Amino acid sequence: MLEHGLITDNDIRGVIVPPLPGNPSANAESAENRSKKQLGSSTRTLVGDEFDKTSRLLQKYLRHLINHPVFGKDPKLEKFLVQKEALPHVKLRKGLSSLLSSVWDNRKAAHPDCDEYFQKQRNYMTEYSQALYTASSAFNQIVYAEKSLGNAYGHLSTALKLQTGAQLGSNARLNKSLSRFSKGLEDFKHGLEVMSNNDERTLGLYLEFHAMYFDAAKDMLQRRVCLQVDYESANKALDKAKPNKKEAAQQAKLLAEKVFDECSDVARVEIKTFRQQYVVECSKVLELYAESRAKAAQDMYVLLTTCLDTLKT
Amino acid sequence: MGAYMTYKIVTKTNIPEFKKELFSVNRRFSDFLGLHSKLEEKHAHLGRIVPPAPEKSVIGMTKVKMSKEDDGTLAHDEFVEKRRASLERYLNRTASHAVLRLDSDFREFLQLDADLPKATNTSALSGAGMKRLFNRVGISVNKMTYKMDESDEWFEEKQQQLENLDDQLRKLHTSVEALVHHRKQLSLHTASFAKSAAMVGNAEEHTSLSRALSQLAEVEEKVERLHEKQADADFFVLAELLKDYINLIAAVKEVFHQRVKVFQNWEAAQQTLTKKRETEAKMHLAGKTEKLDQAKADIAEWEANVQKGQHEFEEISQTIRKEVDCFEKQRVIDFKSSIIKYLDSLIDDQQQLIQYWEAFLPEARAIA
Repeated sequence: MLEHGLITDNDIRGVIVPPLPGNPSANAESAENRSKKQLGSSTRTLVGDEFDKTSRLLQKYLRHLINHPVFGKDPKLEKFLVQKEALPHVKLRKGLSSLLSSVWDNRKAAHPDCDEYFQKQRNYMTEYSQALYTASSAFNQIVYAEKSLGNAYGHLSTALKLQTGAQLGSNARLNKSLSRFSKGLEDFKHGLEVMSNNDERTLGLYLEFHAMYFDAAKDMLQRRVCLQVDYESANKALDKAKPNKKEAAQQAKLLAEKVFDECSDVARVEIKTFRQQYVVECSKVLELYAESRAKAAQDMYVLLTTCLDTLKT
Repeated sequence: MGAYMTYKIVTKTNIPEFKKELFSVNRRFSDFLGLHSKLEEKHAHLGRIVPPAPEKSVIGMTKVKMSKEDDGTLAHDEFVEKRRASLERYLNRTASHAVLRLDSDFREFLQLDADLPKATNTSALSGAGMKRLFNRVGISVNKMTYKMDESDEWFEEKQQQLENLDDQLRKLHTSVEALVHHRKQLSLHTASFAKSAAMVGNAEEHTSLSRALSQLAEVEEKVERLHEKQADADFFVLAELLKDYINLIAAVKEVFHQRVKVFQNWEAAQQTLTKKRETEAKMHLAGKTEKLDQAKADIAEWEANVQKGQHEFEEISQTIRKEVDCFEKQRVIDFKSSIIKYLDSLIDDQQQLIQYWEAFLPEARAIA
C-alpha cells in the first residue's frame, strides 16, 4: 500500500523505484513445497518460514526508500514509519503491476532510444540484471545445499549417538570415541547452519534485491522511451495538423517535450546515483560475505581441533 | 573386450618365509578373486576369518570398458581408483593375519614373477559372493532343520552382538552415503555460482569491482575443488570402511556357521558309534560270532571318528574365540584411526578456507 501511495503521488517517470519484495505465503502447504524445492523432494525436514528473509529484504527496501531524494521526503513514508496505529488495510482497486503498466506500453518500450547514452544504459541494465538473477539463483542453491549437508551430518551424529549404548561389550574405548565423534559432527552441523544463514543474509539477500533493482532501473528507462515516443508522435502530429488545430498541437508538443526533458534530467541523476550506490554497496557486501566465511571456517576449525584433541587423549 | 586392467602390487616385508624384502608383481582383478577363493577353501572350515575380496561389479566395469568419451574417462578413473583402493585394503587385511600371510597361495600371489593361471570360478558373481549366497541358503535351511545344542554361552552372545553390529553399520553406511551425495551437490552448485559470478564481473564496468568479482569467482572455484576433495574423504575414509566391515562381519558369521557344521559332524559320528555298538550288542546276543570281529573293528573306527570330531570341534571353537578377539581389537583400531583421519581432513579443509577468504578480503576492501 505504501508503494502504491508513493508511486501515485510522485512523478516517478524518471525515477528508479526500489523493488518491493514479494510476499511469500506462510502456511503448512507452502512450507512443505518450499522445503521440497530447496532440499530435494525426498527431504523430511521442514524449512522454516521465510519470515526472516522477507523482513530483511523489506528492511533493505525501506532503507533505499528513505535515502531516496524523492521518496525519502514523501510524507506518506514518514507516516508509514512513524505512525503507531496499524495502517488501514485497503484492498487496492488496481494491482500495482497494472498501475505501472498504465504508465508505459510494451510496444512503445521496445522502441530504440534516441540518445546513445541512455540506450547504452538500457542495454547495460538488461544484461546486468540477467547476470544478477542467474547469480542469485545459483547462490540460493548453495545455501540450500549447505543446509542439506548440515542435516546429513545431523543424521549421522544421531545414528552414532543412538548406537553407543548398544556396543559390543568389550569396546568401551570405541564407545567413548564414537560418542565424542558424534558430538564433533553435531557441532559441525551447527557450524554449517550458521554459515548458511550468514550467506543468506549477506550475499544471498544482496543478489536477490539488486537483481530486482536493476530491473526497476531498466523499467524506468523504458518509461522514458515511452515518453520519447509520445514526444515524437506529438511532433509528427504538429507537422500534420490543420491550421485550426495547429495551436492545440503546438501545446501538446511543448508539453510532451517538457515532460520528456524533465524525465531525462531526473533519469540522468538517478542512473548516476544508482550506479555509484551499487558499487559502494557491492563492495561492502563482498567484504561482509568474505569476513563471515572466514569466521565460519575459523570457528569450525576450533570446534574440530577440540574434538580431535579429546579423541587423541 | 580382450583388454584388461592389471594392478601393481609392491610388497615390503621382513618375514623370512618370503624370498626377498622388496618386490612387485602385476595382477588382474580375477586373480584376487581366485586368491580369496583358495584361502576360504583352505581356512574357513578351521575357524579362521578370511577377509572378503572386493565385489565384482558387472555394471561398473562393462560401462567403463565400453565408454570412450570424455565423461566416460572421469567415471572410469573414479571406478578404477575405488577398485584399486579396495584391493589394497583387502591385501593389507589378509597380510595382517598371522596365519593367512604365510599361506603358500598368498605368498605365490605376491611373489610369483609370472601370470597366474586364470581363476576358473570367477563368473558374473564372484566366487565369494556365490558362496555367500549359497551359504545363506544353507544357513537358513540348517536353522530350520538343525538346532545345535549350544553349551557355550559365549557363542550365542557373540552371534547376537554381531547381528546388532551388522544392523548398526548398515544404518551408518546409509547416513554416510547421504553425506557424500549432499556434499557433491554443494560442490556442483558452488561451481555454477562461480561461473555466474564471473559473468557479473564481465558485465561490470567499474574496474576494481569487476576485478573483485572475477576474484570472487576464482575463490569459489577453489572452494568447489575443496568440496570435491572432501567428498572423496567422506567416501574413502568413512563409507568404504563401513562397507568393508559389513562384509567382514559376513565372513565372521561364516566361521560360526562352519563351527555348527563341525558340531553336526561330531554329533553324527556319535550317533553312528551308538548304532555300531547296538549292532555289536545284538550280534553278541544272537550269537553271531563270525561277524563280531567286523563289528568290533567298526566300533574302533567310529570311536576314532568321534574323538576326531570332538577334537575338531574344540579346535575350531578355540580358533574362533581367538579370531573374534583379534577382529574386535582390529575394529577398534580401524575405526578410531578412521575417525581421526576424517577429522583431520575436515580440519585441513577449514584451514584452506580461512586462507582463501582472508586472501580475498583486501580485494573486496580495495574497491571503492
